[in-house]
Amino acid sequence: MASAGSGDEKAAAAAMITLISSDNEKFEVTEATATLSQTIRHMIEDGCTDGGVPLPNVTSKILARVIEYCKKHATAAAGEEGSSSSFSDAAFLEVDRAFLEELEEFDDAFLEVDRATLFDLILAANYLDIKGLLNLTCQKVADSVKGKTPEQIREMYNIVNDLTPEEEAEIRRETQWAFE
Amino acid sequence: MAAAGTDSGIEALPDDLLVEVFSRVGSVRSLFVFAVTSRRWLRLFTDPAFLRRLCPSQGEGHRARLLGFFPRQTEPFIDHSPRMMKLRMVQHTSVSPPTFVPAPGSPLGPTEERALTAFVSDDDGTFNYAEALAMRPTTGHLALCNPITGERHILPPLDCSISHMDVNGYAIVTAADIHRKPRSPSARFTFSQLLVIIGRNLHSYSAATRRWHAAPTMCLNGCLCVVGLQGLATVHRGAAHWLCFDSEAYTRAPRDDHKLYMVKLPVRAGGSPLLYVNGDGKLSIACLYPVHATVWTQQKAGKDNTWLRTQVFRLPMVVPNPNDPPEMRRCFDQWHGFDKGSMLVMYRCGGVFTLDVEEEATEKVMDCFPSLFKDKQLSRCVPYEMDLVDFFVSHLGGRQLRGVAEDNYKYHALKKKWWHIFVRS
Repeated sequence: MASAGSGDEKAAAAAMITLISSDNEKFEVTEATATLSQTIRHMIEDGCTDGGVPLPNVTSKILARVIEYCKKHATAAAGEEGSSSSFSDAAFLEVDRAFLEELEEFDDAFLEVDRATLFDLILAANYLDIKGLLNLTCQKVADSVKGKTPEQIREMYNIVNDLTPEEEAEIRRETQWAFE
Repeated sequence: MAAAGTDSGIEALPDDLLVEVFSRVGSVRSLFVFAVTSRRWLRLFTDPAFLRRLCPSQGEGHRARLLGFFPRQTEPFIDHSPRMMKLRMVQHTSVSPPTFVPAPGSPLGPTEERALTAFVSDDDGTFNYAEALAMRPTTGHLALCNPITGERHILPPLDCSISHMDVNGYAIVTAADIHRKPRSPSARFTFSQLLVIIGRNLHSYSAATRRWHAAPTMCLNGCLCVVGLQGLATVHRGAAHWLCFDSEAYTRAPRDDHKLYMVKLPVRAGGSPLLYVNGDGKLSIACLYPVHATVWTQQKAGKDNTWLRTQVFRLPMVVPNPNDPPEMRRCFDQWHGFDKGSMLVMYRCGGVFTLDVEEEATEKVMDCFPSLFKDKQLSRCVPYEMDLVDFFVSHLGGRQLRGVAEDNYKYHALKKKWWHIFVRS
């Protein structure tokens, strides 16, 4: 890495990174895809990705989904960059809008997962520091609990109610306006 | 971090990630519902450190949070005479409640303008034609509402002999301002008294008796005027304080248990003076000039009239944004006091800034919304501010924290402006 001069930049862009899941499965991804993760970007900048990047907190099932997300969003980012230099402003906006619409559709479909997978994705997005994915997944959970009653939330997410009935009644009395 | 895959669910998320989820809900009401879901969540919603991350402030050290604005709603020259208003009510012409514009990142929702009735129920059209009280004058019909809890108090009409009176000042007193040790922490926010200066007279309304005090008190004489665009009093140790001025000097007129005091202040006040309670719980006056500010602080509470100049500092310069239309750059500064020496300045070079007097630092909160400039010459906005961290802890943490943080409660209890007043026409 120390010898990476200006002539090698094209080659570096196409460089592949190996990600290793907790169950030892190996995934080959381009550097552009991998650097959507700030965690991996820092590793690449520090030149310590030789021999693969072990991710002991992420299973192969989740890692595959995360890579799917990163690939899509990395292409979108690259597409935008390319178009900005070669299209007129109007054409650029047109392309931009098409990209955004496509991305939105992709994101919606991407979120069609069971709850356990959704929370695993949140944990992985946080660990790998992927802002867009964290925002997407957390918003999905936030939308699912908004406007629900405590009973509905407990049932939805298997939360054990460990408050005594007296405690719960007292808090509800204090914040009655929130339950009307 | 918990091993992913084995026990996945919302319970497996660490506190850091619950912040990420809860901060995207966008409803204070829902957050209060979450708090009774389990013991862990209740603990989170009573933990000031967690709450501060959940409701990020406009700057570290500011306890004041700008939630949004009530912009002026009605046309400037609308005929408010009782006959015309009755006619409009019957015909249902151009009837609309006031609107609220949330500040960026406000827990009261995204930034589009919404009707007040999105926060407070209004089945009977009570708030049609309502305006924030600071948008004087009034016809004597007043109501109070709290956009966070949806509470509302419709006051009986005030018997004004003249139908169209100027509101020169008002104070909203909560239970905490009167009793030093309220029954339960959340009772601190219970509305207890409204004081309104209409014309030269002070009227007081008690929430307990649901009545206006029979005889108004003459409180402004000669050519005294209440300072400040809004006339909102600073409530401190059970007394409402207004800053007034006459042609000679500024005077303070506090009200204490139906006793009125008028004390001539031994300070050289100028610029835009703002009365507030500082971080040490002392009454202070900040005089805000275009380039610098001076701060005067009362040395002892009560009738003592010793004031010392405690601070002089330069205000950081604000450069006009060259992209703003000229009419935005021309707008005058409008200062508002928040609690604990935090100020809000609107329209300074087309932006909204906070000033932390103790830190002597300003910070830009936002560019002005175009909607705040609808009718540029006459438009006024009432900022809506509250400390949500304190609000959560006092409502939910009473049981666990009682006794422990009592001192803290007293400290915060004194400077609350939980209520906004609306004039019903």
